[in-house]
Amino acid sequence: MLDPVAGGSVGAFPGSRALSIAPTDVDQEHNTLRAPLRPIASWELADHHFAFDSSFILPSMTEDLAELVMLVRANPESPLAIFGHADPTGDAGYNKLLSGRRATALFAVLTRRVDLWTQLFQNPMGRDDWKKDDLAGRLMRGVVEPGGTSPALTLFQRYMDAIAVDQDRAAFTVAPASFLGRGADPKGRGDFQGCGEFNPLRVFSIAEATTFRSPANKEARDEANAVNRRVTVFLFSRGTRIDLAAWPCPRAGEGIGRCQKRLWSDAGVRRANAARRREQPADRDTFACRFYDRLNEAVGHHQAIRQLTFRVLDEFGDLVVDTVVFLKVGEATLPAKVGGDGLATFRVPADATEAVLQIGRDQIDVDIAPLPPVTTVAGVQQRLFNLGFLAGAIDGAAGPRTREAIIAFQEEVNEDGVAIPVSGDPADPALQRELVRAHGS
Amino acid sequence: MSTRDHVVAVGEYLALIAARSGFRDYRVIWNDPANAALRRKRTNPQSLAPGDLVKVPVLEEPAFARATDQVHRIVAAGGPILLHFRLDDQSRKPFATRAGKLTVGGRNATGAFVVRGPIDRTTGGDGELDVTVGGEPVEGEFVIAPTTAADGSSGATFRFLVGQLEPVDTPRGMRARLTNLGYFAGASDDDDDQLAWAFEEFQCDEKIPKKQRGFTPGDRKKMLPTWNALAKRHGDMLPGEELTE
Repeated sequence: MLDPVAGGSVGAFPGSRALSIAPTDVDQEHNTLRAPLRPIASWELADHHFAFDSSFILPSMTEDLAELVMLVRANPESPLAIFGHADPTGDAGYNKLLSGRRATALFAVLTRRVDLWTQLFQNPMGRDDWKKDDLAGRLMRGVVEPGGTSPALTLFQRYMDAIAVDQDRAAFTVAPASFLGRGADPKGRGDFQGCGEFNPLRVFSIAEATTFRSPANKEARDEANAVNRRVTVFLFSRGTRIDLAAWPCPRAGEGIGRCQKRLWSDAGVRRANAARRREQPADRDTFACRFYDRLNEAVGHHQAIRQLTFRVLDEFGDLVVDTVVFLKVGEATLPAKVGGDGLATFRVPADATEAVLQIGRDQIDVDIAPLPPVTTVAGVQQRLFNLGFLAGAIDGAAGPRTREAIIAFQEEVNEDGVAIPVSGDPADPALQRELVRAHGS
Repeated sequence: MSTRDHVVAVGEYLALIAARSGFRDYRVIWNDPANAALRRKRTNPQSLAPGDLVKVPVLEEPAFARATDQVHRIVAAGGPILLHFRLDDQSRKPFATRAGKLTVGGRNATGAFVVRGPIDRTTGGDGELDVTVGGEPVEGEFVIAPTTAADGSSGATFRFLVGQLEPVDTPRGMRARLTNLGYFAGASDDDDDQLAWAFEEFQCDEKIPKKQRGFTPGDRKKMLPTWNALAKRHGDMLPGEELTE
């Protein structure tokens, strides 16, 4: 029997939302709690990093891959799964396979499965023919012909090593066991799949669809559809394992049959052109697949994502540059590269209210809330606090500690060569101007 | 016996109301003829809705207060509170014989909030975990660490609020059970869209007949099969306890 003992307080359990349960003294009665399949973070690869109409990955993908590996390394226990997407032009079955081929190509470069690229190369599908791409052709032509496999493998391997590099330009790989299906299925079940055209980010209005039907407007249509052609990677909650036999998605190389069993009851409406253009995340009604839609909702994509930008300074007030800093939001640890301007930008769900910024070994608690205007005492205090001049509470009252902090800031501004009065007065316009400049907002 | 009216507040369940009123067994209250209307309305005395009216029998002055000796001890009238869980992983398979850490916070006899744990507990072969708690449990968590072996299995953290499972035919009760079962039913109490989508998933998974599908909270008759299936799948309703019109 658990008897309460002293210590703690209400709300002592941080983390995910609490579940509601009923006590019971009846034997068979219970509360079933299921760990939800819940992504904690996502990453997206845009269409233009693939060759046109192709699943061949272009060298321009390098920078995005470096971001992905930062995210994977920051969340080592969170398995990942790849979902390819096509635009709704053309045949649903073809689109399913094309999006699956793109997902396959990404999985292969992450895990260095050169054999998967060789298969894609050797088995063109419709317009997705790697031989038509100059670079892919050069890498493969003549060397995958009968008898000559190993030079091709070497070239593909070297190309993968060249484009999949981290921010220090070191080649990286992701172990198949880090994927949701743990690499157990040779054809990638649970690890990578194509959603085809079922989950577009944008559905044209009827007027747009009519215009785009004209062959003359094909180019404009393809451009407006570019947002729909993408590859999404979800990172799932720490330690998530799945039962491959129960995984709803068909393999990347399989048809749409199993997808169709998973469509929402109103999938027809979701996929149809309506009076106006509909888009994620604003409309939340463009994904026809129930399973994917729920994953997406749970990761918080439906909410407006808020962008947070930090300028990172060391204890001497100098910019910290060319390093990676982390923001812990909920279960996810989001990485951001600090550029030469000392700025680190994160995209967090709009409903996040707190986070922890990690710079080297330092951890800084961050309350995510609107910054009060600099013309208020609280606004002056918050900026002084963020810049490391004020240790006390942000209470909106100009006490002696606030005055001291203002004076210290004003003296430093003068030392830096900008002459302003050392007033200690929060209402001082010169102080407010310099605070906004130093704080960046 | 005369009764007094008690209006159920958020987080209250009959075992708690009974304990606070000096009853060791909540059934004395539940089975009191004065509560016939409550029994018709609610199938599970530990899953009541805020605002429900409970008729609490008025006890005679407790014996210890009349004792002639000088030792006056406060005797907790309520029995321990029992919490029964079935814990499933992300594939909806039981967390069978898995070690975890249990922490429970609640109020002790003096009303102070105290936390006990973490203590080591292992789930049963069907993922079951039975917990007996003294005092008034309020919240807790059970953490199963993922196993690290190559064929390792999932971990999970279950945080729970005791006594906040409202009846299955109330909006909060529906959302809570769907959420417990791993469906995404929206984050806020008024997100009816997400609740409706979660029901579509649930009805599909449970093979509810096509005619009875949909989310029609105003059409009680149509919702009954879904509500009963939901409470049974969750485990707080046993066969024979089904809601009726």
